[in-house]
Amino acid sequence: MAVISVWVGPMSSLALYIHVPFCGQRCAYCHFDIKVLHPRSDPAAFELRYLDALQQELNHYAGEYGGRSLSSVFLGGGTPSRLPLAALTRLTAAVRAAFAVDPDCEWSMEVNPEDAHPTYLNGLAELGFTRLSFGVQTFDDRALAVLKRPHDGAGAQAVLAHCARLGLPHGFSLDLMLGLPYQTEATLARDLDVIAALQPPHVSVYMLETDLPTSLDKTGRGLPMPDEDDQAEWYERVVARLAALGLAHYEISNFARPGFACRHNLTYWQRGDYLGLGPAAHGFVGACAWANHERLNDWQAAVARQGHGRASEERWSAARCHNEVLLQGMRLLRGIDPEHLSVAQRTALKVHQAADLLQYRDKRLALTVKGCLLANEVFTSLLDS
Amino acid sequence: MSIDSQFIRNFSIIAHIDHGKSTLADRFLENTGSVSDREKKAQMLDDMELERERGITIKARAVTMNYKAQDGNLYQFNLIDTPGHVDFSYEVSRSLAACDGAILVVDAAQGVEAQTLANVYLALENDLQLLPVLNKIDLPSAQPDVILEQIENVIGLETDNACLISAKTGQGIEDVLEGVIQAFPPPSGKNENPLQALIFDAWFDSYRGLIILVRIFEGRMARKDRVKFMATHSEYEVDEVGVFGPKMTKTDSLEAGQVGYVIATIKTLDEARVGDTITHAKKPCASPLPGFKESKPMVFSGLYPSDSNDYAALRDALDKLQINDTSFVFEPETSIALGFGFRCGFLGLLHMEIIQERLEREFNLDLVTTAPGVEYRVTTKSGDVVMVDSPSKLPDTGDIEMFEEPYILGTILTNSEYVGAVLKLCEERRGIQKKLEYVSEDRLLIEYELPLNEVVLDFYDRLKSVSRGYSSFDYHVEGYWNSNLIKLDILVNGDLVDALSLIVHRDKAQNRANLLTVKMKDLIPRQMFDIAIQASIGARIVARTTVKALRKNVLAKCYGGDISRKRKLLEKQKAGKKRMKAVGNVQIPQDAFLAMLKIDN
Repeated sequence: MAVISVWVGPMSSLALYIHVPFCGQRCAYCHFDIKVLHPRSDPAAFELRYLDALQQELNHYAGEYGGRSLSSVFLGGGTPSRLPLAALTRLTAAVRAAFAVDPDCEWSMEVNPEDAHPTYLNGLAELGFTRLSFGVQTFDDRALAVLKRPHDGAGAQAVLAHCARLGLPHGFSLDLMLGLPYQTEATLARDLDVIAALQPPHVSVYMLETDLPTSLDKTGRGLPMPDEDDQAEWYERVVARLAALGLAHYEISNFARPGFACRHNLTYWQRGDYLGLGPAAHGFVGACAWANHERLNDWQAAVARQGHGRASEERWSAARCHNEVLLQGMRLLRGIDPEHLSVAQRTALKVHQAADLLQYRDKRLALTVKGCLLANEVFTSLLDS
Repeated sequence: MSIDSQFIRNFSIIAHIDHGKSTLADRFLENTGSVSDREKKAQMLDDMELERERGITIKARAVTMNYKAQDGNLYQFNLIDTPGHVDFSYEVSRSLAACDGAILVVDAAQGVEAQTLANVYLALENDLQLLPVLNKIDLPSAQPDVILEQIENVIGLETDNACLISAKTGQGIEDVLEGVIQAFPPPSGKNENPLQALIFDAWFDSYRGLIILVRIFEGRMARKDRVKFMATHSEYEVDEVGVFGPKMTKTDSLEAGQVGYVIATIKTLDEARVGDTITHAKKPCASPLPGFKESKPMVFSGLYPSDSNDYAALRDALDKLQINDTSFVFEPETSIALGFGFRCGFLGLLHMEIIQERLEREFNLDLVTTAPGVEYRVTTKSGDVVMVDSPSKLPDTGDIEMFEEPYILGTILTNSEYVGAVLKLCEERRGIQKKLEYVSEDRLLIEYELPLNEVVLDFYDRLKSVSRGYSSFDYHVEGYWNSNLIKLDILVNGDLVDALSLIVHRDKAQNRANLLTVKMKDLIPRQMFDIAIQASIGARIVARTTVKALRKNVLAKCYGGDISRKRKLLEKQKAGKKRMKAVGNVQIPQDAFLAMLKIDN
C-alpha cells in the first residue's frame, strides 16, 4: 500500500490530558480503574500524593517538550471535580509553570453535577477553565438512581443554567446517554426538551456499552433495558432534534454550535500530538504512543522511579500512523479525503456507499447517520491488517 | 497335545454389564491354577485400557485351562470371552457359535436385565446349553429366590442346577466348575474328517502378525498345513498353532473339538474374517460352517479435525485403527462448514464412541463429530437401489420410488414407576409397541420396534434420564422398512446450505424445521441486511425466521485512551469475519454449523 501522506498535526502545538482518578462513588456503567475516595479515607492525603507525582510528571515532560506551547488542556477522569479549588489552583499553576500556553488555549474539565455548586463553578472560571463538560447522562431520576449517580435531574438543570450564565469562552457541554435502564421514547423526549430549554453550545451522546463488565450487569439485570435497535432509533431521533437546535453533528458522538467543537478532542481525531499525564492516561507524540500505569500506586511509583508514569509504549510505523489518520478521521462527519485511500480500501468502501453508510460530501467521503451507527463495519474495511 | 474330546468343554460366560462376568473368569483362572498370584491382575481378560475403564470387553479372547475334576479326570476347559455389547452382536454370535454351552451370570440383587436377555437369545440361536449362575449372593440386597423365579418366568430356563455364588469372595466357584462338566456336552467331531475350523476372532499383533482364534469342529490342523479360507478363497501355509493358557503356548496341532490360535503370514485382517471357515486346501470339507456374514456398519457420522492441519494425521490414525477393526469403515468427505474430514461407519453407538475416544486418546487428535445418522435404502423409479448415508447423496425427490430406513427391536427392562415415561419416550421416537409384561412384582419387560435413526441420537441417554438410571436397553437390527421420509433443507437468503440438510420422517419434519430455523436465527450474527432463514421440503417452505439487519455496531465513545482498545476490537471483529463461511452474501460463523450439526433437540 502506498502511503500518500502522513498528517502529523501542527508541530508547534500540543494538547495536554490530565487524568484525575478520584471519584466519590463508582457509577454503575463504569469499567475504569478509579480510586473511590471515602470521607473517612482522608482524601486530602491522596490528593497530595497525586498532586506531588503529577507535578513531577509535568516537569519531566516540560524537559522533553517544553519548547512547544499547549493548545488545549483537558482534565478528565475519574471525576476531576472531586478536587477542591485549592488543589486545582496548585494543578493549573503547575501546568502554566511547566509549559507555555497559547493565548486562546482551551481549558476543559469534566464536572459532575453534584460537585458543581455555584461557588465551585465560579472558582473554576477564575482559575482559567474555559470549557466545562457535565456528566449529566439523563434528567430522569429513576435512571440516575439505577446508575448510582448522586445527582438528580432538577439539580443538574440548575447547575447547567448557572454555567450558561458564566459565559465561558469555549462554552460548556453535557453528556446524554442512550440505552439506560427505564429509558423510553418518552423519557428521552423529556431529556431533549430540557436540552432545548438550556441551549448548551455542545452535547455528547453516548450509547451504553455492554461489551465490558460493569456493576450494571448485575444491578441492571431484570430491569427494563432498551435494546440495540431502540438505541439506534433513538440516536437517529437525537441527531435530528439536536440539528434543529443548531447543534451540528461533527463527530459520531459529538454535536456543537459553530465554534464550540471541542478542540482538545479534535486533536485525537485529527491525530495531533497529545501528552497524557496521570494514572491510566494515554499519550501520543510523533509516532510514539504510550499508556500510563492504570493504578494510582503503580503510576506514582513509576513517576518516582522514571519521572513519568508510562507502563508501555510503542512506536507506530508510518503505515499505522496513516491508517489511524483514516480511522480516526472517519469518525468526524466532515469525513476523509478519498485521495488518501488505497485502491483496496476504496473497493471495500464501495459496499458501504451502496448500503448508504458512506456518502460524498464536498468531495470528501463521510459517514451518514446510518453509517455512524454502523461505523465499526466501515472501520474494519479501513483496517490495513 | 492329544486329549480325548470327552474331556473338553467349550463355553462362554454371558451376562449383563457389571453382573460379574470378568470377575468370575478371573476366579476360574485362579482355581484352575492357570495364573499365579503374582501374575494376577484385576480382570485378566480385558486387556485394553479402554475396556477396563468402560467395564466392557471389546476383543474376544479364548483361554484354555486344565481342571482336575472331582471325578478324578483332567478336563480341558476353553473359556471363550465375548464382547459384552450389542454393537458387536455379530462377533458375540460367532464367539457363541464356537461354544457348546454358556454360563448365564445374573446379579442376585438386580436380576434379569436387557443384555441378559439379548445374550440368552443369541445363545439359544446357537443351540447352546445354559448353566444359570446367581452372582453376588453375599450382598445384603440379594434375593436369590426371587431372581431364580424371574429366570424361570422370563427366560423359561430350568434353575434346578443353578449355582449360587459370589465371584468376589470365591464362594461357590467349585460348584460352577463342576456344573460346566455336567451341564455342557463335550464337543463332537472327529480328527479323521476334513478340517472345519470356525474363525471367531482375529487381531493384529505388532510382533506376531495376524493372530486368528479358531474352534476346530472337524479334523485337525498342524504346522505346515496348507489351508484355505472359504469366504475369501485365499490359501496360506500354517506357521504355528497353539493355545492361550492364558499365555500364548505353541502346540503340535489343534484337534477336533479344541479351541486355539493359528498364525500364518496373512497381511490384512480383511483376509481372516470372523465367521469364516478354514479347511485344508488339498482335502477340503464339503461346505463351510453356517452363519458367516459381512459385518455391516449401521451408524454413521462425520469426523473432522478441529484443526484442519491435522487432516493427514487423522487419516493415518483411521488407517491404523482399521488394521484391527475391519467393521469400522471410512471415506473422505468435504463439508463447506467443516472442511476436509471423513464419513465413518460404525457397528453402533458404542463402537462409534470407542473409536472417537481412541482417536483422541491414543492419537492425540482433537475432533469435531457430527450428529450420528443411519444408512437409508432408496429405490429409484428406474429400479436402482442406493444406500444413502448422507443427505447429499440422496437422489432427486422426484426420482424416489421407495425410501426405507433401518428398524431395530429394542428390549427395555425398567421399574414399574417409570413405565409411563419410558412408553412416552418410545412413542415420541416413532416406536411400535410389541410387548409389555411384568417379569417380577415391580419390573417390566418392554419391547418396541424403533427406527434406528431415532435411537442413535440420544435415546439411551434419555431413557436413563427418564427412568433415573433404572432401565436397561438392548437392541438388534430387524431390517429395512419403508418409511415416510423426506429431505429437509435449510436455506439462507435463498441459498441452500448443503451441510445442514437432513433426512427426517415427515411427521417430525415441521417440528424439526421450526426448531432448526429458530436455532439458526440465534447462531447467525446480525448483518447489514435482513437474513431469511428457511426450511424447505422440496420447493415448499415450511418454516421461516429472520435475522433482522444489524442497526448498531459502533463504539460511540472514542478519545485518546480508547484508540488502541478500539483498534483491538476492530481487529477482533475483522478476524471473526474472516473465520466465517460465506453462503451467498451471508456470513455464517463456523460455530453455528457446529452447533447445528452436533446438537439435536
